[in-house]
Amino acid sequence: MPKILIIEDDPLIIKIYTTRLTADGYQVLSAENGQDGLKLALAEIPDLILLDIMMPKIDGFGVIQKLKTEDRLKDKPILAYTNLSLEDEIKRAKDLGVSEYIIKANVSPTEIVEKIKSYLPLPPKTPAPAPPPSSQSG
Amino acid sequence: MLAPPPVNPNEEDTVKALWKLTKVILDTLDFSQVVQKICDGLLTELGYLNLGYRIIVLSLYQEKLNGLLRTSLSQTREAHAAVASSNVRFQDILIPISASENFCVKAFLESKPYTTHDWKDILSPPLNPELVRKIQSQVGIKTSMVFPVNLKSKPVGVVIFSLIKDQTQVSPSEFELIKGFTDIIAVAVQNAKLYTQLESTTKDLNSTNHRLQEMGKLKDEFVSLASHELRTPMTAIKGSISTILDGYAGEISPQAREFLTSAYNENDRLVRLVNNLLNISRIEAGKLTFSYSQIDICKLISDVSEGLQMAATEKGIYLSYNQDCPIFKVETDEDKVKEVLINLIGNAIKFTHQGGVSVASRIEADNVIVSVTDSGEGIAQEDQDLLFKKFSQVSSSNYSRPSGGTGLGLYICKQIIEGLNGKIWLSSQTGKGSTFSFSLPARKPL
Repeated sequence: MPKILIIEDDPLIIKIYTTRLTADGYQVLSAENGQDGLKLALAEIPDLILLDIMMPKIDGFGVIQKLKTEDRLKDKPILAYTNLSLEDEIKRAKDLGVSEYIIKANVSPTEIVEKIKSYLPLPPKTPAPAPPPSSQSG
Repeated sequence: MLAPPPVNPNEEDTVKALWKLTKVILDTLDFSQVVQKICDGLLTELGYLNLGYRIIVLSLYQEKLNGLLRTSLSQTREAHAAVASSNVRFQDILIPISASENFCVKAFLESKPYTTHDWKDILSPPLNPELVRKIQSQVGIKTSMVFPVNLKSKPVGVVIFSLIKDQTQVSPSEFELIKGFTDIIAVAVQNAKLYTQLESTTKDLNSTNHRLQEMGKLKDEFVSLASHELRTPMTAIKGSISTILDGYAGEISPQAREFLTSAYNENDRLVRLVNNLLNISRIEAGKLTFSYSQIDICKLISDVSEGLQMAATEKGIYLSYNQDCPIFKVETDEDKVKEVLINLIGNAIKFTHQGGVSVASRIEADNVIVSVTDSGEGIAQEDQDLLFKKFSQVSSSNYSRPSGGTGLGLYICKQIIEGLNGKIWLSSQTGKGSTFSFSLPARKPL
């Protein structure tokens, strides 16, 4: 199951995306600050990271910098998802290597989920796994 | 450094000497240094010390005090002795213009030189006559000559030359040189004053400029922070409502859907308002910058249209976009073009009450042209030019204030499109709807 890590200090936003992405078939992990997010990323090696920028402890820029130094994480897509929209903030994140810079208020969750799917497609839906032969016979 | 005294100076020598003195004085621009050089230059540079000149004093007219105030004094033994014996500090010696018998006042008001053997004539009032005579005899001054200092025939002060020789021993050429010297003094004083003023004005301007820059930076930071703080709850509202509307929180009644759709659209309106205020602040600060990338204009049109679909549905009008959109990559700023599309389509929905809005795109030469057509009431010819100006909403019936909005949207669109080297225009007729179009070059201009 594709694994997504959400690093975001607003628990409501985490809840919204956990609800949607879980329903779509993703495994969703979350952290409410940059420090915990980095720990979780190193422990779990997610396939994609949805990252807020303005956060306590370590901000999003700091998180990107650290992620890009980790061999197992540096190629995972990072979608910066923030309400900061000054040109230099956008440029800084892009220079650090984010795949997308999304201004939260301007996009609907549907659009975000679409973007996530384009970077991390879900495996084709297979029917529920057949029960093991032993139980079938029993 | 004493130069030899001038021997039988002729006119040419006088001119040379004055030129030398002028250079010494004008060599500096600082006021206090200039006035000091005026008092010392003649004595040391031209060797007038050897001709019996001992004390040179410059007094300038002070309008506020209505008197002649001591400004500078030659650095000679006699000058120091005289100052030391006086009961009034040198820089405090003020000769009021009302002291009409004082030779300094006379020279100043009448614009002609005065000579005296008695210091009472030049110092009393304000000083006690007995005291000044005592000091005069102590330092051995026999003659004092007072010359007016005029700038463009307007008196600005006097200069006093005190000598240890008799008036009869002053040669005509000496006298001529001193007279010429007083003209230089006026110019030098004026230059130094102007320079000092200029320096202080420059300093003020620099500090004002610095303050303005600081304030501009603070404003930018504030706008950025404030918009972030405004958008954060709007994001939560948008996310929550759309999650309910998209069915992730169970079934909802048609009526609940209707209310939630309205709430969603109103929240989006707030988002657009904040975006426009942020854009205006960037435009006004001259900081509208673009970040170019290859974008799929069709995808952008469909994304924006889908995003505004709910707003159209709520009003009971349609919003469509051409499905046969030509595949065309445009090198431009995606976020900025998106803002333009949101503004244009959002406006069209706002001002259309029947029918609907359609978005179309086509390719012409190396440009992509996008048009947003509505079946609203149209805009009268005379109002069309005003439309792209700041804070303008045309006043004809359908576009009057009750429609809401800041009147900033089209102004922002124009700034963005022109910043991206494109064009934006309108064709409309009253009663026949409006079409807003913009063109963008396919490639970023070099």
